Amino acid sequence: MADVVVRVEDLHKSFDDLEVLKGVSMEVQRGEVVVIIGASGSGKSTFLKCLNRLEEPNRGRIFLEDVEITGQKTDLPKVRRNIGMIFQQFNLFPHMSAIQNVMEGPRTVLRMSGERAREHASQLLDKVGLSDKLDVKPGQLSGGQQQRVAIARALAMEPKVMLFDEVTSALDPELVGEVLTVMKQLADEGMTMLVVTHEMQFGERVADRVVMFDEGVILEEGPPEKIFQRAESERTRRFLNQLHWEGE
Amino acid sequence: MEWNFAAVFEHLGFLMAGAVITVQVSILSMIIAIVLGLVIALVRMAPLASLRIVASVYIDIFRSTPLLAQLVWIYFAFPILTGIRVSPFVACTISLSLYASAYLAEIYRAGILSISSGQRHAGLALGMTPRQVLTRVVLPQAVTRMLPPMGSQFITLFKDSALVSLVTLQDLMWSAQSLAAFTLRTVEVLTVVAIIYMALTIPQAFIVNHLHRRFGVD
Repeated sequence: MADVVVRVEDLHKSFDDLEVLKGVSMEVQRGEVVVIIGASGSGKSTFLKCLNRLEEPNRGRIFLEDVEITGQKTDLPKVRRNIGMIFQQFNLFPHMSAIQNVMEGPRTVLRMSGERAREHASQLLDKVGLSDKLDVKPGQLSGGQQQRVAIARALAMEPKVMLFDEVTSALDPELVGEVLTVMKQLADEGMTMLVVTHEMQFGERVADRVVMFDEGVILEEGPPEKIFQRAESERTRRFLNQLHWEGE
Repeated sequence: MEWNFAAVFEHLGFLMAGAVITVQVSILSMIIAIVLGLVIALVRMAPLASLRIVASVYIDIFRSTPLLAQLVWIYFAFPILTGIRVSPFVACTISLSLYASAYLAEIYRAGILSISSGQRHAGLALGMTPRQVLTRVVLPQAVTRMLPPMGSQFITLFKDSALVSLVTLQDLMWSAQSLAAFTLRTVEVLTVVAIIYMALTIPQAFIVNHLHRRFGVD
């Protein structure tokens, strides 16, 4: 029996008159890395935010390990503990040091003791290569470092799946690699990941499956070598071509 | 006219007793308003539209009518309508608290709204409840932005408190008027009293300036 972590059935989402998601269904297996690509406005970020219900879907159902999380009685804070999310703008808490950011979830949400939370947090910061920045405030860190703290913060909750929402789009180009390296490491360790990104190299090297969003639906999906080299849809091929600027 | 402060200095203790009342009523009102204002700000941003309307009507009433009218209403009209009699001190404290809370509510709201939705999302995504997001993420950041305008609000409240003399609370201004009537040295008395107000307000202004430099966001 397949071990499905996330199952989405016919998800719809509108903002006023604008229908952003027009019926998206997807299954994500445990340990799978799904890379979601598509033009801006195609609904891929909204899709991620619906998965932990930071955006409220209008229709459709979402299951986390076979438990529906789109019901009226869903305990949202409890569900969200299990879904890590990393944002484009990092969104670290600026009034807390790096280690306090990482400890915040375990301390406030899981009521873990300060000592245990601190030890766990310092291990995680070590893992993302920031063991020398424990007591530094986010404002003193580079974008790449901030994003790695944000990954450690999400990991501290020991999530069952992690959502990456264009996490390298706000970074200077030379800082993208350090974040992608950490993400690849997580993928290698078997983390279940949904990654919205424009980093096609990451998709080629790390994804188990690439999903192309277009105008609120999944246009096509498949293993990376198929999507990147032999995409069926003309729209997908055109989108991928536009990402490679070859000049005149 | 001839200046003669002798009579004023002779009764300086009388004025000081009034000053103590002024300080008491101002500080107590501010403390109540700090709590009440937060509650009103949160109701003003509640998910339920009807609650939001109630809070915004409250804010509008207290901000768009003269404080003196509110004082008179609470001290004279309220007891007649309800049969509940309160001392001038209690009536004035209630009145100043309600008035300041309406202004503070808007200061809180601006401070809270100035924190980006990304911060809220980050807290919620970790599994925090909305209340935890407020107390752990939003308020600690908003407070530093709110401190300077809250300080200014306190200075305003402190000076506005002179109006309580008109409903017979024996504050600094009431003492001044009594002493002026008693000594017939109106100009001298009011000059000294103005200096006392200044002496009490300037340190506050100094603190507020410090807060602006330390936390102010332009």
